[in-house]
Amino acid sequence: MANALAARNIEMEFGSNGTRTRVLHGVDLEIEFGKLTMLIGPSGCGKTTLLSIVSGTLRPTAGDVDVMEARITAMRDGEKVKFRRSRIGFIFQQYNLLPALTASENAATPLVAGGFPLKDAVKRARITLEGLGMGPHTEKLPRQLSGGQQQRVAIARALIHQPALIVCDEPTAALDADSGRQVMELLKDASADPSRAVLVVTHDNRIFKYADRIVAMEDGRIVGDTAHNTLPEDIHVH
Amino acid sequence: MLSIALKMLTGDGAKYFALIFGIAFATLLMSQQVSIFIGLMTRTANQVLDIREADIWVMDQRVRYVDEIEPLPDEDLGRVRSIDGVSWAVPLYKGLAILRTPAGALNQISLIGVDDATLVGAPRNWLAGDLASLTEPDAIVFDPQGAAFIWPGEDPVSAVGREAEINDFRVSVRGVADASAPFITFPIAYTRYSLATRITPPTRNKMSFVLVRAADGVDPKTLARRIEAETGRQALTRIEFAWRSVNYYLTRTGIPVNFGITIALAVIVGAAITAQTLYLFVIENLKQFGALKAIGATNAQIAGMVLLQSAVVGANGFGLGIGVCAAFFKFTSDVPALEGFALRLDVIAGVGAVVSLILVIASLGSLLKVFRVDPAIVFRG
Repeated sequence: MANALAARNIEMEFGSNGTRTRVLHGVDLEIEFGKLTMLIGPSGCGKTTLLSIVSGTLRPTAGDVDVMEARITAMRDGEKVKFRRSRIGFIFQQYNLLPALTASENAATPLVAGGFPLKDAVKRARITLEGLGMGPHTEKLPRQLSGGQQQRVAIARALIHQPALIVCDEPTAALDADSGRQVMELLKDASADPSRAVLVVTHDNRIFKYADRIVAMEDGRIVGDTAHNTLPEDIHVH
Repeated sequence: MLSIALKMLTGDGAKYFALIFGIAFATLLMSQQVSIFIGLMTRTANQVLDIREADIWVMDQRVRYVDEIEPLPDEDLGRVRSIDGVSWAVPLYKGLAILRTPAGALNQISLIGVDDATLVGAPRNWLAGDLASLTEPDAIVFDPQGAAFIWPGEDPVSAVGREAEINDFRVSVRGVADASAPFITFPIAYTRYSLATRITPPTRNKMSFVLVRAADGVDPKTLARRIEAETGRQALTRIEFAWRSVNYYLTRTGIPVNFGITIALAVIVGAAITAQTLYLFVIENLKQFGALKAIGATNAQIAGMVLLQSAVVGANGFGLGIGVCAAFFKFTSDVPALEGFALRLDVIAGVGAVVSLILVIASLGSLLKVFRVDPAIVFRG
């Protein structure tokens, strides 16, 4: 079976002519199905930029990205939107839930964006939320939920349309240890599906233990990978 | 996505009502100022428009509006009556006079003397007395605002039976009748032409206008031109004279400029409030729109959301603003200074068009920002 994601020779520059900054230097990355892969590294090393590119929300300066064998770097914006809507789930550091919507309505948004009637989408969202232990909270607004509960709503939103790739940006950065653990266990469960891959960007070393594979970045380059036994020694994986 | 847009809009009650009140305020400001301006301009022609029996007004060539009087010689009445196509012609006196009450108070009044035989030019809406009251000896009839002004604190109708003096001539109040408010807000007193010409200071000529009715089948405009050709006087149809009066105030006074500035300021302030509140609402939700774009909402869906939000706040704000404006005119209809001012349908339509235009421009400005937002914004902290 092909990889869930394959990025080749990704380069990314920001700024205009006089002040161009290169943040990614020919990065190659492959992510396999059925695994939780962590992308780690210090702040500013380019891991979030790489995550944005492989999830189709940012166009690289050079290089190709294939997700589920579809070349998203060759897609037009409209095609990428539809692709993201059907094949990719997103989990953000700050949850990015819509404050006016209930937990179930927030979780339902990818389906609604895909044309599902809100009522039907919310029904399905409730089932997904119950599966994540959020049954008593489906009709609460984000402000009525703790950080961990909000992140679980975000996970439900990422899972509801059964995407093949879930990308997570620092999913535990705003959570306490216990909530972080619960969130990571849910993501670990999600990654156990052999038709799905989970890519987590983090620098929270408390959660490294949930990774099936860790890829380390520094200065816009991949500098280590547990899959190749090249992880630097100063990164402590429990 | 549209139901999500509505929930986003109404979810934050404070912002939602701030948006509605912003648009309502702009709507109120524009509709109220435009209505007052139109009401004020209409007042300049009310005394012409009120006399519906007359098709044509004949006056001195130099008269430019209804309050500018250059009396005509009496023989002009006969000359006009003799013109082919004239059904009837009657004199009308219009001028200012000083009225003295028994208590000694002096009041400047607008005195209108209507034809003794036909009473053409008399008011129609009687609160006390009737048309025949004008035929009684020394009779004058006041409008209710005038009666209330001269005898403050009393029911205007109670003025009936009171006596006063005009130029040392005794007159008796025999009735109170409503009339459309004129531009000059002196009390209006109606009397017979013969009495008006007797009690006003002697001048060579007294007749202010000749009111003419065209014979059946005769075009008033054609007849007016014929009267001008045969008498050398100025003859205008009722509507022509009304517009002539309005145009005089529009072109020869500072009222349009002052009101134009006020209305322009109302539009600018209203547009600024409306556009800014709507734009800020969208910009504050930029990250939410970025998240929706990241998870797969298309630009068309987001445009629909923003336009729906804009339409909902626009409709609510406009409705509220128009409602408050209508209530303002309703509850001030008894205030003499605001008498006759009303919210007109064409003003509602015009202000609606302006508010819609402002909302469309503000929405498009916000949409450009939303379209440009990079969905990757959601990954940046």
